[in-house]
Amino acid sequence: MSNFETQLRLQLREAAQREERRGAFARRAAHARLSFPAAPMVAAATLAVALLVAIVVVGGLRWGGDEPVTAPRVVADVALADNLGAISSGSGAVWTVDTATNQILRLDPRTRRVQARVGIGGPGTVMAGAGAVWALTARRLLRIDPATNRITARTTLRLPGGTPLSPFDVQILGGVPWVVGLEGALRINARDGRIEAATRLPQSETEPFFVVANDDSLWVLTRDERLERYALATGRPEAELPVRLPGATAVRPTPDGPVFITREGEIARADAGDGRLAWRRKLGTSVSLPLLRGSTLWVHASDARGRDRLVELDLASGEVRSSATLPQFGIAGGALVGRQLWITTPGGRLMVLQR
Amino acid sequence: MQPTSRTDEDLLSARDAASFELFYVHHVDALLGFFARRTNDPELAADLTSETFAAALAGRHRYKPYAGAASAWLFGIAARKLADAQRRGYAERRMCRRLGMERIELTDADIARIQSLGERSVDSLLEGLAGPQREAVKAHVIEERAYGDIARELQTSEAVVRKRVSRGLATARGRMGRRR
Repeated sequence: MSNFETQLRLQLREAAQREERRGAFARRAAHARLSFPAAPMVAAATLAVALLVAIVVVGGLRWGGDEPVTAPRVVADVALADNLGAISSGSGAVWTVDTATNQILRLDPRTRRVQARVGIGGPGTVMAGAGAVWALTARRLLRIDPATNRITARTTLRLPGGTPLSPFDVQILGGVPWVVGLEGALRINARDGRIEAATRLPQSETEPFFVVANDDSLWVLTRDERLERYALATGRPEAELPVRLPGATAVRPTPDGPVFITREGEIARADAGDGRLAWRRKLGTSVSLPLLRGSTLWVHASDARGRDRLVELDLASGEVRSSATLPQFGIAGGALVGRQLWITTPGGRLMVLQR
Repeated sequence: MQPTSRTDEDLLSARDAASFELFYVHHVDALLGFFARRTNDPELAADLTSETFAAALAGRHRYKPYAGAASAWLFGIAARKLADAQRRGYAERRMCRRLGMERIELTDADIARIQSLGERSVDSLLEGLAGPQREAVKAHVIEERAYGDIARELQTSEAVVRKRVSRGLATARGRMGRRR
């Protein structure tokens, strides 16, 4: 082997080891997050409901309706960066991650132009809510003040006793930020980013595939095909279901029961009581973790021909209600922005869809 | 690193650093030769090789063994990187930067080795082909000459040249497939 080949080998080894260390965080990042704006303050929620009613009355918004509808169409497809990651809407702006430069980009929701950049010092994801913008990296949670676009708090993610948390995601639940990880969850003070409380999960010999919170629960998808539910506040075990979709790697809890996806492009909803599959669909060779809006699931799917689609599924029946072909490949994140759905791609494109 | 009987598909599907390193060792010479032959520029070949392996490392979770051989997947990335470089006039280093990989300065010995790998890949393509097929493949694939031009030089028809190239490449492909 030449000097070049040896040096390249060493660089690749180090890069691969860094990827290994990112572990759970990297796995979480591999599942693109489709998110709606996080539950904000009551006043803002009231305003949103009022807007929603107004829009539905004039027939404008159909992202979560129950009737058969036409597929949304792509109204914009723009290059924003070399690579993009998660995207989230809040505080009057849209926030996404430039994964090539490790910066949070603040976008103008009207012009879709970059208004500000905030360096976060490493790979990360973003979530807007609870009056701030939250950037989650492999070790820390950064609080960004949307008024100044400056980082106002940096919180190292540790459980009581000093155990580091391997974070999966930052979620806004009931107006409160939570960092969810392999070892448990941390409740964060929205004003100063401090850790207010911690919930520890029981540790087993094998790492779980996926951890996610909703309402008052923490859900853990294990490698031996079980879905465990714990109380978010206390970590007390509450329920356990068998996972009947072979190869399930991620889960989205819904009021009708958990929705699972596989690496092979399958999606299924299980019965919340006994885990039996209510429906199961193969949408392509890969699917994203779905976004839930009312009784509708929005899923990004790729097929064997390399064609990507945004598929609208009925949560109850699994029936495909619409399907829109996308002009770009891949998905890194998605968020509802007013009457539009914004989707970022790993290749740095932003696609905007609207009915 | 110990010898292993694991296939390239296993190595690429695994998530650990050691497996990827072994996958790299299996393919680095072939990839350097591939780029050296097509660019005739050792520096560019080295940059493209780094960027291709960086992209493979960053994107290996997308590789699906049932969809094809790991080497085909790697060379698919390589072909796209080459096309990009030919369009831009330089090799981009986006994935290397993303993974925190520095650009490696080549020594004279590196340059000589990359050149020899390029020549070796040509030799291995032509190796074992019958005389007329070898001549046709060399003229069309390596020297990138048109069928009509080759036919005039060989004083034969264009259809005959096409047939010789086609059969020669089929033979070479078959041989490479057996090696894998």
